Amino acid sequence: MLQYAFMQRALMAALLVGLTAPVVGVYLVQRRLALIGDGLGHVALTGVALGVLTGGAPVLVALACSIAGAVAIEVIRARGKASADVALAVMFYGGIAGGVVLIGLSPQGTPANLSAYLFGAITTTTSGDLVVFGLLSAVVLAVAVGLAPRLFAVSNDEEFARASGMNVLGLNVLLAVLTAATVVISMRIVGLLLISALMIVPNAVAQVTATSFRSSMGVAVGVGVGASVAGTGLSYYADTPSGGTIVLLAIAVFLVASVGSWLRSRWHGRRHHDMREHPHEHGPGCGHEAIPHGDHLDYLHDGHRHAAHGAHYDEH
Amino acid sequence: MTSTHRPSAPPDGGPVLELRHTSIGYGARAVVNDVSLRIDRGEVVALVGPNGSGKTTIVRGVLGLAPVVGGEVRLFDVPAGRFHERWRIGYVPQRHTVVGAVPSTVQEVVASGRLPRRRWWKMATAADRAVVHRAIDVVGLTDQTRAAVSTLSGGQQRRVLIARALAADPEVLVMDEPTAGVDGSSAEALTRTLARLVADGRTLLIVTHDVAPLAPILTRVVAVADGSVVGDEPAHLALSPASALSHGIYGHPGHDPHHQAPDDPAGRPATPGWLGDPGLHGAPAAG
Repeated sequence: MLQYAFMQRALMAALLVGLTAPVVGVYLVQRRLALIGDGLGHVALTGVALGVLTGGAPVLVALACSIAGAVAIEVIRARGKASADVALAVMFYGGIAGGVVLIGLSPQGTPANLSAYLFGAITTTTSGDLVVFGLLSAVVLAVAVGLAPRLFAVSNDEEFARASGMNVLGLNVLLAVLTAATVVISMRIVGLLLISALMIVPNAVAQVTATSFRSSMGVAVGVGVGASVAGTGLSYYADTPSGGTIVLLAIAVFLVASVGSWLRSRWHGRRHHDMREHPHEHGPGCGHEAIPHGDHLDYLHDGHRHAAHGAHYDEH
Repeated sequence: MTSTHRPSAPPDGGPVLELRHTSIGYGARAVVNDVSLRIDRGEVVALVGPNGSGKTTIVRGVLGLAPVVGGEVRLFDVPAGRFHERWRIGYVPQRHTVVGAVPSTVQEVVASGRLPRRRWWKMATAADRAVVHRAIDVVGLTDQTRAAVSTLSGGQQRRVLIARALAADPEVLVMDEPTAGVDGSSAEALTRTLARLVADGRTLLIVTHDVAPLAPILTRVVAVADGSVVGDEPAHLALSPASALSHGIYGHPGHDPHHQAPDDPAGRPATPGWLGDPGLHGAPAAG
């Protein structure tokens, strides 16, 4: 397959997106904003459609549109109103509906065309696209890695960052712009409906395998590049949409990693509850009876005993 | 009154945190009404009160995390809005765990507390790393430096949050319920850690519902109920069994006939007569 120029371009684009998406995604996962990338993809579709309709450069119009969308999303979120959730949803629906209608209106707007934008295709990357993707990737990676300590701090604990005088809004807007750029880098190979999967799923693998933020990023990039390049190659042989193939591969890696991690914790023996999935925090006066047990307190919970152990409760 | 205050600028005993007729709240409804409170350098103050009394809101207002809707907050004798050295006030939030959605090590979390002291474009220096390691050492987690925070106990994770605050080398430490959900021996270890910080000359403001574990280091106890300061005593009085504070306020603030909002124009908290000598508050730190 490497003798075809379109495949060379597709694999290059896959490499770029596989590198970039997980590096930006790690901050989205840390902030528990996994779905924002998805919404940005929806907004970018309107940008792509505008580019197609006006005969201009869909990539650059999509970039402008999704950066504008990203900044709008951050501003809506920062205002913190209860209506923000619905406002964002309306924006995302508007993005995808506008994109579908505008592409339908354009002379070159075929269903195949639309499907390539939504789910990725290996034949669509032009050399001009590659130049844009390369530049965007370089900038996104330089910022996301160069400012990693600050992005980590804000994503890890926004309140602490604000209380210690860091520019939280600025960093959040920056992260949103990085996300928007990543959406655009991915629009050929992965597609706008699936891009957030490539930002999130490799980080889900890291979540169950890594112990530090640094190693999480490494694992995520490895999975991202692997799934992205292998998926693109696979879609050539299997004649499948590249985006879907890449994402299914990444999810397969995640399932294997999860089962492995589950088996490992079974091997360690003790049953425990993850506190992240356990909404109640045991403490004095929490309503559960506390029982001294060696060097700690167990809390009676639905007839069994919970003991805090790191991020989870052990059953005692 | 510029932002160029050096750490040594306010003389010993000068105000570090001050509320002047401050109301704090969200939207139209203030949770904290017309509170005046001044905390001087070297004090170790417990802010006590029942759930929903507004003690956490007071702290959040001081830190700029909750909107101040009336009156004034002053930090190091500078209006809060013009104070740009927020790192001088370390914040230890109330949180059971420090586990983010992405794994991170003790070292990574604590180092994030050093960032306010670094320029955007500067890499961490050897000095930065030394401060981070010292902060981890102070809270006794040196052995766990490279451990994932998710593998630590609740008490250890609290200490990670304290170390993160210490990494900026703050002069004041504001802590929200540092002992909640921590068993007795961990609470004692925490108090020993705090005693070292006090000995270093740091000022502590500790929101708590349980002063007992902190008794050895406290110099002053301020009681809050229904969004107002209702008691303010030196610790040795507040912690004595005879104290009205330990009897009247913790349990039944609503029954106190002397319940009143402080309104001393000098900004020092008015102390209800039954709490004893108002001149005694602001006692210097034991360290």
